[in-house]
Amino acid sequence: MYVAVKGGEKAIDAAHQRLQQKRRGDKSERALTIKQIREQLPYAVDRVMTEGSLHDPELAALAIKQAAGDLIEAIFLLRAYRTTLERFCDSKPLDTDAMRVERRISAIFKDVPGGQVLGPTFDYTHRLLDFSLLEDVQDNHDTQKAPETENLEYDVADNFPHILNTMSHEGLVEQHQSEQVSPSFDITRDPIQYPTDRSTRLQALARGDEGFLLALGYSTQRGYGRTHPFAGEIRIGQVALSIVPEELGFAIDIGEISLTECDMVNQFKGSKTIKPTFTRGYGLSFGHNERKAMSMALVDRALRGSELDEDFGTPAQDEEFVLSHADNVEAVGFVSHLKLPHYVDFQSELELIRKIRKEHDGEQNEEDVDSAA
Amino acid sequence: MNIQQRQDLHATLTRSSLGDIQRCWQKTPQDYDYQILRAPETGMVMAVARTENSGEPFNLGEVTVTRCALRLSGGETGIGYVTGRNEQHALHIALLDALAQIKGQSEQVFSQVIEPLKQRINDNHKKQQQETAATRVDFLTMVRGED
Repeated sequence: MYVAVKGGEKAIDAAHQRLQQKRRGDKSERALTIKQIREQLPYAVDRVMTEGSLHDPELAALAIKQAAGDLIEAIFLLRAYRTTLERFCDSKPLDTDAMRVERRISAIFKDVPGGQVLGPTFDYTHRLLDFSLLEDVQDNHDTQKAPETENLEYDVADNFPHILNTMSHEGLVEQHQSEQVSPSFDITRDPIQYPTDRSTRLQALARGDEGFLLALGYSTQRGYGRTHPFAGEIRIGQVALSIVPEELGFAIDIGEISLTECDMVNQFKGSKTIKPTFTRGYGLSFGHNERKAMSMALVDRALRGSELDEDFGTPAQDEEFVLSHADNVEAVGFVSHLKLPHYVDFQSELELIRKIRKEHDGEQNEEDVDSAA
Repeated sequence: MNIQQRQDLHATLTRSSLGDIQRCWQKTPQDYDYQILRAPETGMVMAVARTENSGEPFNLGEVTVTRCALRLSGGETGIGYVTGRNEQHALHIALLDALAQIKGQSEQVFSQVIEPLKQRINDNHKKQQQETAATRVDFLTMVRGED
């Protein structure tokens, strides 16, 4: 237990000034602009928006600047800001079928309608440091080219049907259909009740820590709750956000948001009465966030263990374990509180240990006397 | 302006930057006589998604949205809802939404503002599509095992 303390205001003010100095760094260097962060660190911005649970690239970039690049601190800042805003309404369910695709790949079929398009990706890079970026010139801007778009070998596809849906007519892959428009539970309004349904879990996973979900997803691959996953489809792009404003009574688009979606296809399931069917795990995140979406899909599938009547007993299958530790803002809060004054608490621990040690000495002496006798 | 045109107007204006809208329109809100019903305000919309895009809905996360409502002296009310925190953007949308409802003015709003912006958006999308198409791959399966 920690106790309240008084004093230290001057020191705290000075410490915050030091923080500002540290954030600003060498003043002979030009300060970073929000636009530079937004444009040149897009993956950091996307991670902060996703786990900060607020899609606003400009504010995410601001948070990254203010947090001096500490992304979890930036996520915390964005989460805190979102609590100051009123929620107008829910959007209509996003339609990722109508996504303007920037990247779309499948690991289960070579030839898919619309084709496999790599888009911007770190895949197939050699992970060698590019020393040309060290040069502080108006950055190879002039030499960086867009891909050649003349004489394209392929037609430009503007429609990319979901790959797993193309398998659905045979009934090989499970299909989930719902007419429901609004989620029945919102973890930002009510505390999670166990057991949870899949929608609740997906909301928690969507804002969950990427590293935590990556490790859990990895653990299922290494055998702790194996689900035999394949990346059925990963797509990244822009999706229209629509609402039905109270003033209108019909839907209008209010902009586009960027999304990453991962459709995992997993080991089949069946019973005496149900034919074996591939099962699915789903991952969705703001921005370009492939690692997160894949990890989320692996963990989503692992958490469906009891629904699918699977053997239980690994961390990734335990919804209470996963959901109560996935949120890095909550985790940081509890870990950080250890820095608060625990002086009184520790004093009593000190007294206790001194007492026990004294008793221990006493027992030792008695034993020594006994053995000597 | 029918419902479809109105949806078209909002879809176009919310996908355009304020700068582009101003360049096409060449008027400012000060040029018009209107009464604010709801001053521009920033809040959020919860982005709802579906499991595997067809199943149960779930909350993905929130999106900042700015909205505004106003009424012209002729009684036409316009609204603007747009992602982000730009109050002028929402105000411009609401005003154009109202102006397009005036009998005889709709064509002008569409020909002068909406159509050129739509063209611009389509051109951008086309360019992006082509750049994406340039990254299309054919994976050839190698024969595994003997031979």
